[in-house]
Amino acid sequence: MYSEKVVAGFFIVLALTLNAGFVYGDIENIAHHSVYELAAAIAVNLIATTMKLGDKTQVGCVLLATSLVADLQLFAAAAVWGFASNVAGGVTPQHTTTIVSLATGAMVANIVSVILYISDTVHSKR
Amino acid sequence: MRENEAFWIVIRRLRTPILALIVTYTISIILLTLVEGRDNNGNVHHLSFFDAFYIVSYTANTIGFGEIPYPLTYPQRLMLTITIYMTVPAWFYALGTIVGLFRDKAFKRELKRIIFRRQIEHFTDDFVVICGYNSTSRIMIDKFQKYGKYRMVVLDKLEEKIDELTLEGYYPIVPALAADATTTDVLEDAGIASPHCKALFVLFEDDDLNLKVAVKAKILNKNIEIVAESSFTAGLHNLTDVGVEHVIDPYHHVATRIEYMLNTPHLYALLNWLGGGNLNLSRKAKLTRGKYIICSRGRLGKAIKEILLKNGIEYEIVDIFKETKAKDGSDRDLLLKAGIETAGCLIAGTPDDAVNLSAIITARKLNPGIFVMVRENKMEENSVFAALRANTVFVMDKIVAVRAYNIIARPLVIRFADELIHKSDEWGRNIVEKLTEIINKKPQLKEILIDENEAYALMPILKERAVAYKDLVADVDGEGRELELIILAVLRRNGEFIMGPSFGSAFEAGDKLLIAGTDDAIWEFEEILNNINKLYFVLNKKEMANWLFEKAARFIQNKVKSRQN
Repeated sequence: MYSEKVVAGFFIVLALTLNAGFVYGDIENIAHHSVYELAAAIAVNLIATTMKLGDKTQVGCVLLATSLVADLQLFAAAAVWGFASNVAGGVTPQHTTTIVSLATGAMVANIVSVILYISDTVHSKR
Repeated sequence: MRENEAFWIVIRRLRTPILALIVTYTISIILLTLVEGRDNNGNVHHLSFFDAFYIVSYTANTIGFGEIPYPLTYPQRLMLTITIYMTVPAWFYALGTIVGLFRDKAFKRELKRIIFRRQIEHFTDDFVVICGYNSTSRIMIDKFQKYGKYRMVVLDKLEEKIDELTLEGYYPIVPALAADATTTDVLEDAGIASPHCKALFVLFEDDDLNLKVAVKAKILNKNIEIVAESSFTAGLHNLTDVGVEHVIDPYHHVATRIEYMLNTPHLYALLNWLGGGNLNLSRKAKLTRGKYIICSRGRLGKAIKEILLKNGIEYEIVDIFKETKAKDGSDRDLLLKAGIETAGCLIAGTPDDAVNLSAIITARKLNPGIFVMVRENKMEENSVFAALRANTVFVMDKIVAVRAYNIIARPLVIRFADELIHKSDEWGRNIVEKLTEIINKKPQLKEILIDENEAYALMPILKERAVAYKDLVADVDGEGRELELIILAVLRRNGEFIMGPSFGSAFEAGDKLLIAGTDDAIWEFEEILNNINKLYFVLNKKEMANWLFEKAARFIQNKVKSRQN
């Protein structure tokens, strides 16, 4: 066992699960999507990104890239939410759709990330 | 990825501070949104995520804008206090790590290496790599910079040496890196494998080191020429075995010069001049054949001994360096014992300048008429050696540097110097007299290849008529002004090498000429070779007809005529 791998794997999978939990629900209904879940997803994604920093293998680089994509999408979702509630004066179904679809995009990146991580683990001899 | 190992290590080191920031931020933001607050009307109000992020952002880095959007309640203030004590240290930790990184030696070295590699990748000209920055390479760099044939790249193990080089402020820039030249990585960084890299100089005092670098460089790039210093016969064979084309043995060169001095002083004058000295004729007299005292036990002493034996000259070797260092005796006693009072010549050839200087002064006192040769090791002592007025000074670094430079930049000079051995002193006197008569100063050397690039104007004319050297040199302004230069040698395209070709011989396409002359004369000669109008004038002693000018003249003439009619 390799504790660094455990921690990294934990965060990578948690990033995906939180992301999926946030996305799950009616795409137009903001009540189905918890703001805390989005916040947690962002935080865990950032941690996962940091864990991937400095891994200079080919797989490590692609993992880092997918993580950066997920971060970007989630940031965009959070920014839309913040804009809707503070500037536009309320979260409309249109806003909700944008937020959820951005988060869905991030989920796709996270899925790719998890697949890569698993395949790397399967390939490894230890 | 191999190339920036340290860079990745550094990135990894940033992980913990970044994680600390993310974790403390997340906890703070979530807690702040959870705690109940009141708006201005006393209603329950929770901070939004944006507000919480805003507050944490300006609190964490100690900016502190205040309590928004409503004054905080006591539970919120309690929460914010906790936030402050979590996030502010996290920030300091992160900043401290980043600042520390830029002071980190490995990181700095890596950055320098990246810059170095970039500089070399962007070279569009041919360049040479010089291993070791010392007085030898300094002379070479100056020469390369002055005549601008190749760019240079310098490697040295010591940081201080590289700093010294940077302070010189060479332009065009000479990229330099403090690194171990014996490793393949470093040689690759220095661009050995690049097709622009033409030569590698390994001039360390240590033969093993030279061999190590040479072998690796040859593997990386078969086509580069390697110039190496070596003073052992065995080392020389090792180097030639791995394919090093040019091995310089400085002691052998000193010994050879002494032999020239003994037998053919005019050829020596030429050789000395080709090696970067002045073309000095004041020492026309042959060297004495009296007893020689050699103060050098090492490789230099051995090389000189062989020459003296060959010429049947009596000699005595004194190990003045070892004995004076061990305080076993003064050089006075040693020299007296060796018979300094009746000796004809003293060669002070130890690797210590102070010992050499002391030996000369003592010898002069004991025998004022003695001929003195001295080995100068450190170029910094130049003025001291000059003040002593030793009859001959051998500057080891300079001998190596000039030869190394000539091998790569002016191969004809090397060829010319090596062929001198087949010439008589009479021949040498002829050349020396001609040189001093025509040029009278320190003549410059120049190689010119007769081709489209270096003789643009002459090439088409060579197809129509024969042009002799004297046609271009003897009378350049129609009034008998002769260019102050001599064609020392010519290398024909078929490989024939002619020393001192006669003035009447003709140029041929593909000839490589070795020319000695004043700077101005060489410059003018190159212009004659390349400027069609000037060449036409020199060959025909009249200005070339100008097509446009003639047309215009004819047009005006016709106009005038028609008007008269």
